Amino acid sequence: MKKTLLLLMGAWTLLTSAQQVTVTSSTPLLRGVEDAFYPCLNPAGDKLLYSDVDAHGLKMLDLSTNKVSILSEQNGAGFDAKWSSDGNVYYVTSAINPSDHLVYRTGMRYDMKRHMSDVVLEAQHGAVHLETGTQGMAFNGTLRNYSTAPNRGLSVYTTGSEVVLNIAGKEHRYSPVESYAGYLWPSISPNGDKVAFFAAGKGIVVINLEGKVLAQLGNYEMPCWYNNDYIVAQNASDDGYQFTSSQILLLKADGTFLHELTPKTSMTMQPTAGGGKIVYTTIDGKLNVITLDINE
Amino acid sequence: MKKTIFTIALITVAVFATNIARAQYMPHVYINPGHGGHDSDDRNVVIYPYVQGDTAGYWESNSNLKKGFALNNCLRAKGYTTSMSRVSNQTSDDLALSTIVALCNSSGADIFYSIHSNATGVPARRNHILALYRGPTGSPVVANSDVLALNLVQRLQVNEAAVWTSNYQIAGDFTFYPDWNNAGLGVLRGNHAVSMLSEGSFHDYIPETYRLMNDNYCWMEGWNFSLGADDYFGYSFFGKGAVAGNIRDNRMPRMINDFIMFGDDNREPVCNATVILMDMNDVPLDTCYTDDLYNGIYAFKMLDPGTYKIKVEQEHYYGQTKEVTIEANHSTYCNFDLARVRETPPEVTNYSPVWSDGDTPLKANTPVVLEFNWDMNTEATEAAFHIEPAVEGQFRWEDSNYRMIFEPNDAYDVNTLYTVTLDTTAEHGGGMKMLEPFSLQFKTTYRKYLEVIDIFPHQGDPVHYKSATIELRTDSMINNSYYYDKIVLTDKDGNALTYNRRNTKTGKAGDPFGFIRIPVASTMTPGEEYTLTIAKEMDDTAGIHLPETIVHKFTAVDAGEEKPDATVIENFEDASKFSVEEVSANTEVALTASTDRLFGSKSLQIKINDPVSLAAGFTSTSFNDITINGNEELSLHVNGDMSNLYLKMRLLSTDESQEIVYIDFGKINFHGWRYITGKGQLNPNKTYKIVMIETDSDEDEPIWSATIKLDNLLKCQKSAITGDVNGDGIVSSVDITALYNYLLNGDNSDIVNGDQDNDGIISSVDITIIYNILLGSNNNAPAAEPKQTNNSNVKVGPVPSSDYIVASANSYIQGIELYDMNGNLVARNGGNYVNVESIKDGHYILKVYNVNDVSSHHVIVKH
Repeated sequence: MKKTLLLLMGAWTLLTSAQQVTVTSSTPLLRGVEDAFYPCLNPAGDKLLYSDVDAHGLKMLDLSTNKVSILSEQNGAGFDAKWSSDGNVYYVTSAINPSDHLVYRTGMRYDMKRHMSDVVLEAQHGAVHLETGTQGMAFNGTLRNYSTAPNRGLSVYTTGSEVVLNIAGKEHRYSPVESYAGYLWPSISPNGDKVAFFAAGKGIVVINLEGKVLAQLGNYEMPCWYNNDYIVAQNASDDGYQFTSSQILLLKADGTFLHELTPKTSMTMQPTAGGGKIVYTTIDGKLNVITLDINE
Repeated sequence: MKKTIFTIALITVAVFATNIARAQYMPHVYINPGHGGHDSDDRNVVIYPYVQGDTAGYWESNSNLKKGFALNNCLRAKGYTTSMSRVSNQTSDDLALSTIVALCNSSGADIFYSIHSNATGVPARRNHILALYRGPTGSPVVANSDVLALNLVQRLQVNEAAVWTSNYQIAGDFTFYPDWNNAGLGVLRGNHAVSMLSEGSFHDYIPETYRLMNDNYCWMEGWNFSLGADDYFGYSFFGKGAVAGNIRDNRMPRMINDFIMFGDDNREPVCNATVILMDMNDVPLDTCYTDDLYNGIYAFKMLDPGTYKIKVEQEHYYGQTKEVTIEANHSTYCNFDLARVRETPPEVTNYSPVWSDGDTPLKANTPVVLEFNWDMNTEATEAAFHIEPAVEGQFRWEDSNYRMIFEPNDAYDVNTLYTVTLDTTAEHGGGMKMLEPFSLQFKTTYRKYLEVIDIFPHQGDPVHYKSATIELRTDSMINNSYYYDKIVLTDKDGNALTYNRRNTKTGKAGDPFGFIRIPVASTMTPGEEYTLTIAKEMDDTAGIHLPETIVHKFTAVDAGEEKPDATVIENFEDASKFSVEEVSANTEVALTASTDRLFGSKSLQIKINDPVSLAAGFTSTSFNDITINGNEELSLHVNGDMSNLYLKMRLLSTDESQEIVYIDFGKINFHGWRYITGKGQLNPNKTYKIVMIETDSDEDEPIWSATIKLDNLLKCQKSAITGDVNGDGIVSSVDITALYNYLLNGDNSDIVNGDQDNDGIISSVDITIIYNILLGSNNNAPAAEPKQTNNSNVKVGPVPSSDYIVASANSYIQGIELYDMNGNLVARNGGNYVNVESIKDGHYILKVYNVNDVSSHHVIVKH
């Protein structure tokens, strides 16, 4: 009975949260030029990283000049590339050692001033997790690590079923929800007071810096902060072989509001946000940038 | 000696160093045991004793998880590190494809195994291994993925406990799904590990389904995966092996056998056998058991290399012992074929027909059934069977050869006494012969075949393409079992159309005749030819079948096709305008509006019940406003019910003569909508009013009710019938003769309408047109739409759509194509979606290509 009441109250809260969301602009990117996947906007929203369907290579589109730069042509570079607080780009590449057939992963930095990439973490076997922070970046490898500074402000990454928060140089590990398969896609809210991540089987979870669960937003993927209060995410389904639907959602971080930015049948996916813009791609690599007006 | 010691020391150090290195750099394997959750993207195969949806029965998610656990445990025992995408089978384990890929990449995996089993998705069955990796065949997107796949399938193929119908197949998913536009499998897209997806066997091949229910069988597949990983990384340090096998009856067919089987799977698996592993001194080391799920599978795991004995015991079989040699890092297979214990001679324990002189004669196709106390040697027993007078027939064996059935190829002779004898050469599976011969007698009745009264569609009938109905009428009640297998409706390509089985009607006791009335669920294509085939095996409740197979060809038409030269003079939208004018006593008539219509929103339904005849007359307040000139003809859209009702229209001339003329719309001997042009001789110099619509029936017709519907009544100028040269109202060879006479001799005495192609001249071309009409061909037939098949599990949406149209199904979708209504291809894409952003608004046909199937769907693009 209590549970039913709680559900009803939750539904009422959703209904009475009369936010109105309007898509104020919608612009295709790179149409007719190339298909693009794994988009990642910088915080200012004027530069966009992207890759190919298999995340091979990494490119950057300058949204103000519409110029494309090639940052890397290596395997895996596009899968989890991140902007650092200093404007550089960090990414992980992978290669198979022909002698032992093991996969070795290398931490890379693309220097925006020098327009070239450097190896910052030598190739190693095993997982390499990219940690993004307000004052720096780090690579956490199975054998070796790299960080831009011991104190990276507030930074986060996930490994297995743990969210690892680094606050002013001190590490905190949280497993706030049960998820056998693990956590993915962590990100810090722009004002630095919350972390959103994805727990396999549970969906998007928002926690505070003490690891306390503030909200569970539903079984959606790839959460990304739009601003301090809202998150964009992917809601996809498949038949076991291929996607059968995929859309972009706008979710209020406290769990009280959900708005479908694109319809389920739009096959839109892999959202990223920055500078008040949202970029997503489609199943066939058609990039789009939109802006919103949210009236609360 | 010193050198030997040095060498040994060197090897020891090397092995130690290798072990140290191995501990630090053992591979990480990401294991994806498919989707979980017994949900819509899971695959449930119903096998006895489970029912549809029972999660304890066969689900692909269950067997995939068992294999995944086994692989995980084997790899960890060998020192690998592992991750699994799920360890339970809940809806929450149904992770999205992109999530699985991201989890694998995040785990730092060296290799990725996606563990599945396969299904044909069609009635055909097979069982083989399929391994797929991302990219074109031979050029994997992630290097070495093809090597990983090869290493695995070589380990799986040696499984002798299974029955394989062909060798393994390895392919890149871009090549395997050529229409997917290199989209590939979702769990491999963006995956940076050396990765592959395995379809380890076919779970809809029922003997394999039963095997996949067995924990040991799934364990062996997981173990073989681990050996494949060892091969890929070049490891051979793990010193254990395993042995497994299948235990079957050495000759008895499967008791549960209503499915396709190959090879040794035709024999009965031995359930509940005790399997004992012994050393060579017969000391028991381990014991396992076959389960009771009809698979006969056993296995002994993680054995030290060496030679062992395996002993199998089961209370109904003679025991058997075999020697096996176990090798490290190998799977050994050892199957057993057990002989049943049969200690007494065979005898007939039951039989039919049981008939004595003076009993009612038997139907003309009565099978002879003999049941035995043992499973019989089929060849010897069939040779021992005799029937007099001699009859050609077929033997069928059931109940694992405990029951023999002799069925005559055709009906026995009528009013004949037959004697069946089984002599003492009949023997059971153990080789013992019958001690005494067996015989029976029976006499046949007078009736030999099921007689057909009527069939719709008749040969050459036009049939409205939507909501068609087929009907068979016979002289006795039709057998209600399996008649869908005996009445098959196919399109021009031989594809079977589907039926609306829920609304099928059959005759019952007390009806004047036997019948099956089947609504057709599939929509046909106007202009296309279809074939109705009723098999000879169609029988009545007494088992009497048709004398021969019946084949009727007919053409689908659009009865509601626009008639630009005609005027609608009554649309039948308002039923309240109609009233019953003439009706005989005891006749019940109801005139109501029906939503089953061709035009507008309503049609007029006429329902008549009468124990004697179906004569009635109806009029309308609107008939007074309708005037028909004598040079006009009337056409009516009628939805028939095969009631054989006669439908006609009574007209009255407006001149002083008040001539009554009947326009005849014929006999309602059809189902569905039909456009009928009335026949009747109007005087071109007069005008007419409609008095009423009349119905009637033949007194000898055994139907006493009718429900028909009427829609748009049209009038138009009488036009010459194409091919009707002499104006007699029909097209025949006489019309060709008339043209020949004109062309050869200038004789135009029989020419009323000679110019068939309206080119202004009468020529041999006009003769050809008439020939084509008589031969049934029509070169001007509209282009065929993409074929409509019966794949009801394909879902397409949204309708309408402005951006993407997406198809989903419970089998692989290889690609889709979008056609406009003229049959032109306007968009095509591999995979299960098509982008319609740049397609103009309108109605389209979407063709969805499955593995072995194509289905067509009406879709709308609207921006």
